[in-house]
Amino acid sequence: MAHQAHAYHMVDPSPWPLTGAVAALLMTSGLAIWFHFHSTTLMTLGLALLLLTMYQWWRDIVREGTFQGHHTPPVQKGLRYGMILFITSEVFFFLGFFWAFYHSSLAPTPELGGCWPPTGIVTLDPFEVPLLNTAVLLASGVTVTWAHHSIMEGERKQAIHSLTLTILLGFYFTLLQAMEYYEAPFTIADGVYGSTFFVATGFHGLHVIIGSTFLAVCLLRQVKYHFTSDHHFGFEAAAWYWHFVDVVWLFLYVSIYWWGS
Amino acid sequence: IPAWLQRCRFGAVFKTELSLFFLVLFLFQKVPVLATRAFSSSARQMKNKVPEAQKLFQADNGLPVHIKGGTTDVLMYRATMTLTIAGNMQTWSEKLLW
Repeated sequence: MAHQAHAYHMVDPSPWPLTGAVAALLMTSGLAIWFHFHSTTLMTLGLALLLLTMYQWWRDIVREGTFQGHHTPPVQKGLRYGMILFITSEVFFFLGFFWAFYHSSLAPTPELGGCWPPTGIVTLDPFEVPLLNTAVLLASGVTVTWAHHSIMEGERKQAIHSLTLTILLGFYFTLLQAMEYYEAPFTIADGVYGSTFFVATGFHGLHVIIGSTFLAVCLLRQVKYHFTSDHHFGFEAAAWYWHFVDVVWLFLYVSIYWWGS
Repeated sequence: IPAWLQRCRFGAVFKTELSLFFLVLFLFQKVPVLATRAFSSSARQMKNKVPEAQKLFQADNGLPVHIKGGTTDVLMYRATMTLTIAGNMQTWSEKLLW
């Protein structure tokens, strides 16, 4: 049996990069087929393939780290760099939408009435549900930090409680935001105000759902004893992502909901 | 006839949408069940099965990690590969197969 003489991780050959790439192909071409030929089959197939790929790929990473011991300190360092770089790329993604918002709102065109909010747009009161949403996400930032300290101190039950609370707060945010979307007096088709509002907050909402799912997986792993008090990078990555989602909301709230109203 | 029933015919729709449904159900049902067990002090405590998993995945059998877990792994891999190949064929074919 061969043993490696280094601390790095030489991964086993895996089919998931290929299936993931094909999933992306099917979803994009499926989208085009849906637009032109009214059939959603290909797109749905692509989505199913994406979910299968994500489940199996991440399952394999858990196996490699927790069950096979491949996540040595240098490997963990690489994973940290990876997560930081990924979150940075997401920051740039949102930066684009903020650029679009400020471009349109700082110099409103005559077509909008030369003012912001544009003529005819009834904005949401920033001190009602949006303020509650802010409080919910800030509270979830506190609970996720509580969860982290609980894990580090070996407090299993507290970690489970605080992590569950974080996830529930995330769901509460999503529910409130969904209700706001339903009740909003304007739509995505209402000029550049509608576009910038719903695209920016919509992508943010998607990230809240992604973050909540990541935390839910961490909860499952915590219950199954995967995390130790000094090795729990999966949880740390989820917590970083969650803080990022929270910060994006704060910018959204201040720029679009408050200043933009 | 309701729209969902109209689309229910044997073939890719049956396979993909149904499999998607079950996958989502499977993924989301586990969390609340396990969290509830972890909360209740009266129920038997969740056992630490990590050492068993470590033994399984460190077995010297030459299997790659994606099928090292057993039969379920192989079935899921085959299902995934089937969708990959079938979907690829559909994308590149001149005519919509379904």
